[in-house]
Amino acid sequence: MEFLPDEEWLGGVVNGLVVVVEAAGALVIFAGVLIAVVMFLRALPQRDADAFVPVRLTLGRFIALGLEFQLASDVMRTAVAPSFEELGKLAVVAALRTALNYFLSREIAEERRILKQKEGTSDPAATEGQEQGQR
Amino acid sequence: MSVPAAGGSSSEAVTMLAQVTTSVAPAIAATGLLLAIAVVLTTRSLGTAVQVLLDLLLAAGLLRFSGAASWEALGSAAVLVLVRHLAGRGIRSARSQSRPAAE
Repeated sequence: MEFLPDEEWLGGVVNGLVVVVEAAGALVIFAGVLIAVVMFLRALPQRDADAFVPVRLTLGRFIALGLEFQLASDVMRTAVAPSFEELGKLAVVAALRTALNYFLSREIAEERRILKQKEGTSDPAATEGQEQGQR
Repeated sequence: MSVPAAGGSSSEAVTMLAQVTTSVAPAIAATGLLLAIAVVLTTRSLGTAVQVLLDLLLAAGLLRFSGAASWEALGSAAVLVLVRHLAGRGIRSARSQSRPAAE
């Protein structure tokens, strides 16, 4: 079966891909931090705690996306993990990242729901004001 | 032979990635601390400031976490996730309790 790729060669290719995917995840998180810092600085002059919620949602989405990349690299690593200890570490890392991703998604959904509720409660007041103005 | 070279270069790349992310992470943590102080000063809302700080600390922790991971790094990441989750939950429940009273 000489036409099949060598196991070491395959390991090298997978390890290279793992580095690329993990670097992409780190880059996504870093980009999210940069964007969030700019948005935070823009929200500061408003002096309103609610102005930070959309910024935190944006940062949360970037972190969740970065985590997805890191999880993908963990899954790829399992293909070439040679020892049981390495597999154990991978299992712990993957479990941690999955748990974090789950909690983060729940937080994002909850914050989004609260934001929508606030927009819903503020809209009728605005429309009432408009109606009173028209009268 | 190209095979050992490929394996060696990928492990070098992992080390380089870990070095870059480890050097960037403290800067993000410091930025989070400064932003949290700014949030407290401008909004007088400690809960929001803690949430902002925790978000940026989480990003810093995740960046430090990418690349080669030791058992110590895993343990500290697990503690970070737990603390962040508990603190966030506490702040949210405190807010939801205070909101009806305020309204």
